[in-house]
Amino acid sequence: MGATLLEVNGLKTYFHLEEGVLKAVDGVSFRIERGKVLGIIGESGCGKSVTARSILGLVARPGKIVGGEILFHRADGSVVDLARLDPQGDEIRDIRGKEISMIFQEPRRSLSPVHTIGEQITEALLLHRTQDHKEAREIAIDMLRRVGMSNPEVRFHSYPHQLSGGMCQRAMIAMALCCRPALLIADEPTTALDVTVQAQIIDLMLELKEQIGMAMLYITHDLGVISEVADEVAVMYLGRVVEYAKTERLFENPLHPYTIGLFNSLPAFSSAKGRLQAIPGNVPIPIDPPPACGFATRCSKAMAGVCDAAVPELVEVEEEHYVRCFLHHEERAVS
Amino acid sequence: MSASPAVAGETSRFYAATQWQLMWRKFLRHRLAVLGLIILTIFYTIAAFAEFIAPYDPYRRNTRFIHVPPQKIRFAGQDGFSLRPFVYGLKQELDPVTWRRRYVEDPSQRYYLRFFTRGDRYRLWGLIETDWHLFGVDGGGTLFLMGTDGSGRDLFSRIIYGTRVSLTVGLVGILISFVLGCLLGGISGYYGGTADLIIQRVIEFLLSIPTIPLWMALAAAMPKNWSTLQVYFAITIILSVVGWSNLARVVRGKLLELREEDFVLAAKLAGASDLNIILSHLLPGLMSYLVVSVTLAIPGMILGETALSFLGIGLRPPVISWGVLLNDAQSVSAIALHPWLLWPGLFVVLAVLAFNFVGDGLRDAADPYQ
Amino acid sequence: MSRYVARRFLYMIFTMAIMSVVAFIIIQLPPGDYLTSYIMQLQTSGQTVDAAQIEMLRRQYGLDLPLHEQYLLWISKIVRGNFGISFDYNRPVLELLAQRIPITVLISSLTLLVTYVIAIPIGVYSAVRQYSIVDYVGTVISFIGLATPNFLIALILMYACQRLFGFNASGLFSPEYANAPWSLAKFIDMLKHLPIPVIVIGLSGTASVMRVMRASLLDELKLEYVEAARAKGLKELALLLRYPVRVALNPIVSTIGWVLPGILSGATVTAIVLDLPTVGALMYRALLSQDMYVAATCVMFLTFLTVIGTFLSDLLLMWVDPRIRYE
Repeated sequence: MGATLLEVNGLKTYFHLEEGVLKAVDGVSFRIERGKVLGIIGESGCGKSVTARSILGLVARPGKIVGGEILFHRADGSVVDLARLDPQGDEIRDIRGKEISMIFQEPRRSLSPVHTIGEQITEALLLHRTQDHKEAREIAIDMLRRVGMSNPEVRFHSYPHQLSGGMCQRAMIAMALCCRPALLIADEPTTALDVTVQAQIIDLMLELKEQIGMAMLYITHDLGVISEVADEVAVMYLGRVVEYAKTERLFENPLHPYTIGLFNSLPAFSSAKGRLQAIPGNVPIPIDPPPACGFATRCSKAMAGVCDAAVPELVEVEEEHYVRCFLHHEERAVS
Repeated sequence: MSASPAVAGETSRFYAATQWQLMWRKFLRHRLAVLGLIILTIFYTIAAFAEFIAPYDPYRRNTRFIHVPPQKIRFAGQDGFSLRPFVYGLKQELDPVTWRRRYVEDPSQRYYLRFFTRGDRYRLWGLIETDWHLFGVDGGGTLFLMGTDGSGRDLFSRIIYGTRVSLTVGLVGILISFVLGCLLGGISGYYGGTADLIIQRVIEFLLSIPTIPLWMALAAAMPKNWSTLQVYFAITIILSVVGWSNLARVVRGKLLELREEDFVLAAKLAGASDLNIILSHLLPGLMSYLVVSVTLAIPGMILGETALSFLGIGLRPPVISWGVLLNDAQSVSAIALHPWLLWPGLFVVLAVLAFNFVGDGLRDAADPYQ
Repeated sequence: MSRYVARRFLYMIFTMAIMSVVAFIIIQLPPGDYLTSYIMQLQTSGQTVDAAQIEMLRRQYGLDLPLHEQYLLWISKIVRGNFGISFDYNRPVLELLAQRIPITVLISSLTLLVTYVIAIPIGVYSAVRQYSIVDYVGTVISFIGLATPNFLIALILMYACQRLFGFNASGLFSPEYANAPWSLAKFIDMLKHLPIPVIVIGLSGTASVMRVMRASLLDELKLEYVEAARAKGLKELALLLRYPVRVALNPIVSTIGWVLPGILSGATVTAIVLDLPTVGALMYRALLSQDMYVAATCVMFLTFLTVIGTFLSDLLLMWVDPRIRYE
């Protein structure tokens, strides 16, 4: 077991809306080791993006972290609970962009349309790494070269609207990595890109991860991508982690009915021959949810009186393989 | 699963609602917009029944009551409290210092307010001749709620009559703008090409020139011997000279979006004529946007008429509009002596506010993304 | 980039050309031609006018020519700086305008400046602190500002000044300075008279710019680049000003295109009420007495001002928005 970088324990981020309390993240726990990649997978609305934003204190009103802790092991050896920091305070700002960076789904919308790529990268450098504008410029151009941009000196002066989506994402990556963060949070970084470009960006990120020696929290709804990048996977559903395991183990032996459903809905992983199986129904909106398994309404194996009566615990069914499902509560009880 | 029938009922009711019903429901949630709609309803009712609601004939001069300040409606006086409101009679006296005529209340005379009184004769809508008024005071008394003007005419009655002209100038003007805007915007957006280029330039031109000077120049060119009706329509046409351009822009923009839609192609393949496609397929699609633009364009016309008439180059007496009435309040000295002459201004502000609120409410209601 | 400038410039010329036609129509609109009113004026002042003299004047003004030739004659004179003669003042139109142009430009540009200086910060604040007291007060004021006719505000403010401070707000100078040569005292006197017209003329523009600023900043604040910038570790205020406010300024710059005509419109009515020596007020007087050369020149000048203003704002927009610069 490597050195722990980030530990999230029982994180709860709620949105207080007029209609009620939306429990976007409701007791999420995971751990990321230095240099490793944790993948979070789930449908839209499962709380994976809110989890990522909670780590950086970027949850927008009316959302708020209401419980749990986010322990981050800083470069200087100290451990801070990011959940307790003032989201506008100096300490979290010192961590943002320097020790933890983030890249987003829509590269072109994540860059300011009225500033050049260069201006936006050097800004991060000037905040955290150097006071010298000339040096910042050199580092920025070097980063642009390393993310595979031809003519970095020219690109430095380009505006986002002059670049393709893939090029913009490369620029975003350069911006996120220029201060050599210990953790990169990637929130669906390739979803908006063409398939061929997707593969290039993923390869680039893995390569840079090795060079810089950083860890990654990779968020996606794409099982194929997860299998390529992640060392460990957390499957999220309705604000909770429902299954958590090493990647190979999860792909060999998915246990939660939701995870199985995800695999069956993909051609490459489907166990059943013939038609792909879609998970019936839609993700409910977790406003004032009842105390029940969130998946019970769509689960073919749901047990009346059990699954709709309480929230199952996340239990370790085999070594380092955790599942939140009453079916497997029984199993452990038997063994 | 037990909940599903109720849910199904809910959704089917939801889907059964037409676009307009949905808009109406959203509109009702916008409190200011509802308030605006109530104000407008009251104003247009007043405009429709002006003769009946106004206590006096707006043209009746009264040399005994020139520049009378507004009379206070009272419930209590020296002789005690009264459930029925009343006004005191007026006495004229000379100010010993300025030697100006002034009016003071005479507490010895009480005139009670009554509903449905008889007063000046009039013909309602030119048809029904009668002398019934909504309210008035006991015989012999006067009721000048907002004072009188320099000819002793009751300002409140004149404002009530002015509602008719001021609020319809905007409507007639917008009607002309609407026809022009739909036509030209439609041609521009549907055909594109040279027609679009020319119409676009004209629109940009109209939007980039200061409107009031242009209106003033056009209004001042009206022959002095025109009848009131001619002047009225000339003013509405002048106001719509500029007013159509915004509407045409909305129509064009939306048409450009809509004409790429498949149902237009389908109609074309089915052999529908261009005019038919514009009228029966495209216009309904942008009706809601048009309603919003129209509502938001009316206040500009009301303000335009008011400004022109105030300056004396729009509508002219004997026509009564709020702007014409404000023409009496042109100088500071007039206002200092007779501040009640500004009352018509309040009505202008209320009407414009109401139209703006309703327009905002409609815009929010028409926006499918909220 | 230069194509954009050229296009905008050509468009400016085009607008002025159309405006000249409109102005010519305005001259032609009143019943009879302007010579008739001139002759009437001469007659009322007791001078006798004989037929030969009329014929001479008629030819001098080209009134015997067909309309389009009259237009060409008129426009060719204008291009050479001859705007005709005011029948009212019996002086060249240009001479009349000369005194009023600087004051018109001063009042309009000052109002434009004040409009944006006030509207932008309030708009930003009400977007960032949505539903706060400032937001509500701003909304109420902007509604009233948009709904109240300029002249009414002018009248009320003048009345209030008279009552509260005993200050006569009408005019741009106190009587003792009106015809005096420029001096520091006269300048200070003018500064005292400027706020009321600027407030009156600027109110509706400020109200609408405030609302545009608020709306577009609210839209920008939702976009991802704001969050991306926050994830860099920027301070909140620096972030706000550097990114969303900066981007939201682009639509604001393009509002100059319609705020400026609005200001010149409002300035015309306000100047009449407040008795300011501007081009608009001159135009009003000219229109009332059918002094059509003066009126037409005034309309053309006011349009010219807005067209120039719009052209400058287009250049400004190009400078602030790289998407246009690199088109």
